[in-house]
Amino acid sequence: MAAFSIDAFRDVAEFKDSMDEFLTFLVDTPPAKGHDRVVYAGLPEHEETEVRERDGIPLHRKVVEWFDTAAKDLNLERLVRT
Amino acid sequence: MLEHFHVPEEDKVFIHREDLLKTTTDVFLAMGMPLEDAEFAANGLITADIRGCETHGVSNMLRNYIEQFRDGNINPTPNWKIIRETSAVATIEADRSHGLVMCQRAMDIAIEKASKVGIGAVTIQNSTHAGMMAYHSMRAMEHGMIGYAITGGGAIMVPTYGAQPRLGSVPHTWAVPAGKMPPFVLDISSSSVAANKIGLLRRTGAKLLPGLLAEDDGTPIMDEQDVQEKVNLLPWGSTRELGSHKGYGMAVIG
Repeated sequence: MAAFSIDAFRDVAEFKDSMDEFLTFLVDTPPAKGHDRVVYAGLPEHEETEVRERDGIPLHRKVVEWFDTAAKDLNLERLVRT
Repeated sequence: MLEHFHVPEEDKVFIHREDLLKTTTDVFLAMGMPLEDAEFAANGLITADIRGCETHGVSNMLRNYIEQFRDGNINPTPNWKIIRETSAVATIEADRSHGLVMCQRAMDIAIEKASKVGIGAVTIQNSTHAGMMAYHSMRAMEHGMIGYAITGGGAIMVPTYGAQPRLGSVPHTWAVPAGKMPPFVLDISSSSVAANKIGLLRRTGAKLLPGLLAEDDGTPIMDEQDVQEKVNLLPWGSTRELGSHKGYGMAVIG
């Protein structure tokens, strides 16, 4: 594990502004034929988080069945469905 | 994650984050973990699920973790300790701690050191599966820092030109905060696909995509077919011609 303190290298607000500028530059890239848009690592996951926080996490029904079995075996409360 | 790996629409059951977090925390508590550790571990799994990274969420990993607790591979109450340390770095002996917990604690130490001297780096020995590595690198962003996390272990990936698995899939992750834009969070294995995605393909009944696995003689499988029983991951790049030496090299770092 490694952590790099931005403040030790440069002004944090300036760094974040430059990140915004560069990431915007990337997503503004004209998309290649057959694609709607350009994304960057972390953007789809951020968008998916917003959707799943609102709608719930889609688990495979077999996983939910496994949860029910495991909860029974371990004397836990049953997993609540939305 | 590619649509190919998602749960088929007809098989989806929706669960709210808080409900999944509660049940998963209860499972870890039942395995003997202290409350704070159980919450760390459960939050790590649910963070993967909420970000759409099902390969490292409850679906794929929780059952595996339970088996490892029962086999004694994961120690629910480890006596971990720092065995080597300077102002910027430390090494932890983890006493078979759950990796999802140990990496969080290690990152906290790295963050504390970075807040004093600019950079902090912490290595861990004798730990177990670390979950979605981005969970750990992202922790640094909460402190206005850039996070890096990597883990190794296992022998599931063949070296370029090799006919036997000798390497782990070795994920490298970077988390870089931005201002108004969502942060840049890179979490990539050194293999063509994370091993967990193969299990996901089996469960969803999807076909194996070209360039993910090798035959037992090391030949890269370059056509779409059913998922084979034995998994020999290919390095990121699949073949030497497509750059597999890059994934191979990145895996050696782990």
